[in-house]
Amino acid sequence: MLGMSGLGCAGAVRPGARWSPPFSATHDTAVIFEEHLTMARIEIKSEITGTVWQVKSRPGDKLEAGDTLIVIESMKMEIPVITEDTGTVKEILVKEKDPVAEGQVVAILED
Amino acid sequence: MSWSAEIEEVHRRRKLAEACGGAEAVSKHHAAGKLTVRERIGRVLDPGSFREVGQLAGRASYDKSGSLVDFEPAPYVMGIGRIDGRPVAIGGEDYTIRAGTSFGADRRKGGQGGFIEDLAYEYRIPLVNLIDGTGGTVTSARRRGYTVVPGYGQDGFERSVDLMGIVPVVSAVMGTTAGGPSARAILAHWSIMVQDTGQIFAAGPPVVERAFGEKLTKEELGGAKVAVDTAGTLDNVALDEEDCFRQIRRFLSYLPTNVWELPPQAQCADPVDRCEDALADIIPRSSRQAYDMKKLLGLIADRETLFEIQPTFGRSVITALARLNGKVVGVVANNPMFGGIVDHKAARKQGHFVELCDMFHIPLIFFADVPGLMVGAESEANAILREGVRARYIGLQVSVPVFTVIVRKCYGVAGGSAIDRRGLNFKIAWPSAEWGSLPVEGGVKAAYRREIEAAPDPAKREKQIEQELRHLASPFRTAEAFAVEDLIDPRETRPYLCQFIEALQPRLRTQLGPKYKAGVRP
Repeated sequence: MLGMSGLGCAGAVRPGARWSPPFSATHDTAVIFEEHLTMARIEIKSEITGTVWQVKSRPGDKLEAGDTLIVIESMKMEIPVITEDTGTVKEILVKEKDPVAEGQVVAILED
Repeated sequence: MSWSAEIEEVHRRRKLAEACGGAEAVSKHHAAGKLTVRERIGRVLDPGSFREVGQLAGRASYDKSGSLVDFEPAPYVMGIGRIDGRPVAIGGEDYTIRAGTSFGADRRKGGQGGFIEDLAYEYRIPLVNLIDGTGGTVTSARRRGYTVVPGYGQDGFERSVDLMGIVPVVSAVMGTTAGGPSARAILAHWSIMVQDTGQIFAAGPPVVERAFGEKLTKEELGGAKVAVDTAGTLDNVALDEEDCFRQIRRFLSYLPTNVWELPPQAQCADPVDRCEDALADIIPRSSRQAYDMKKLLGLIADRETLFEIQPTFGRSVITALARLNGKVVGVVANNPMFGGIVDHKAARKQGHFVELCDMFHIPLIFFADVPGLMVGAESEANAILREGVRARYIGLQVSVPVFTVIVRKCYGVAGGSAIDRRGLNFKIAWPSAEWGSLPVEGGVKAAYRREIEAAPDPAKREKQIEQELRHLASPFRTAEAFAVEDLIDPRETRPYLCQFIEALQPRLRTQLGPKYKAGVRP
């Protein structure tokens, strides 16, 4: 049927595609994989374009929903980037005065 | 004398229709993450309330003895049912049959000019369109033997337009839609798209590639990111089909069955006199600092009743249906998280929402924190003045009461659009409020240029004038002059609003029916 190719086969290996068996996986990668399964990685995005005005949190900080991570200056306003989830700051990806685009990931949290 | 053979035939044919496009087509449809149109209708409506009309319509072929040998159902399913116990008309294309294209009968079952539109119009009940069709097909020219001018026969959209003035119309885009069904989707009071499986455009990727040589996927051309977030062609996004059905039911729960009725009142478990302490310090003392306006609204409205319309488009203004002591209100609030400045998209969104509320007798409450219209070359190129003034024009044509709560800034043309000049002109303010034709900071240099330049220390003089003006800008002075009707403790906002919304209900009952408006919008 027209238009149906490519649908309904997500995750399947395409015929002819090369696929390596997992024999080469090292112990380390297995551990990382496990972490990904148990810890949810939460990307915190800026909803607006602007520049970083203040960085309010550091890696290791425990945050609750509604807490501010970063303040962006945009349109002469100081606009907080807030987490909607509870979690621990893993990484802050911007520093003061950095330009930030709408949708840009500015920090990573782990729950 | 018994008709049992024919009666049996009715039931047999219904079974044939319920097979949709056949087991293979249905399983392909399911594999693409989509439900069949009958499954969708069953889930939107109150369980077991669907009464289908025209189930036997389709294309049949017979053998020489006159027995049915083959039957292809019409690719549109429709009928009536109930949502929250109230009657609605509902219909949708059956994508499993020739991708939901029309089947060429003299009377169309649904879509523009279809029976179900006529039924919604004649019965004065809401219409729900579940859109999953690809529109016209060149095969009809072959069948007909000639081609037709657009708007031919049933395809004129005039009934779709009539409906916009009398009953709620909802469109859900649940697949890839182009052409006629796309246009049908737009003629609604509220529309929703299912993320990933829904796309909408005037014409699809092959047509675009032929016209411009540009290769785009259908998601890039008309997925939710473009059609909802960027363009505002459709209003809301659903995460999946179940979410879509939930949101359709939710939207209709705020609307009357038709314009001759008031919106349904709900029982309210949330105490009217709930005064949240958090409101006392939700507004930062620095007017440069943003805060969470959605949280503010949630502290005032009945719990869990805020339902945002166009939440991802024109985000510097929030438009939401909500309840206060069980009565439906339309909320328009500036969103400081996006600067609160009204840009061309926010202006369009606000005007549309205000008109929607007026039409269905939903009083409006503005929560103003607006520094003005968006300035700058890009904004001017986007016709900010035309869009901004149109929002104001629409606001001045409403006949529902409008209430204004000035929580912080209220400046300029955009600020004026939050005020009920046509009605009671009733504004209450919080102590954090400030207003004027433009903020002091920007205005002093322009207004007092000569005085500042003539001073021995111009910078100092400018600061002095700013300070004087700032004292005058205290909302207490305006309240003394009764130039703002009340200045309140922010914590009292909920009980205050609940009582006035209740008190204005008699007014709403005096103006039931369609609202006709003269004039040409700018």
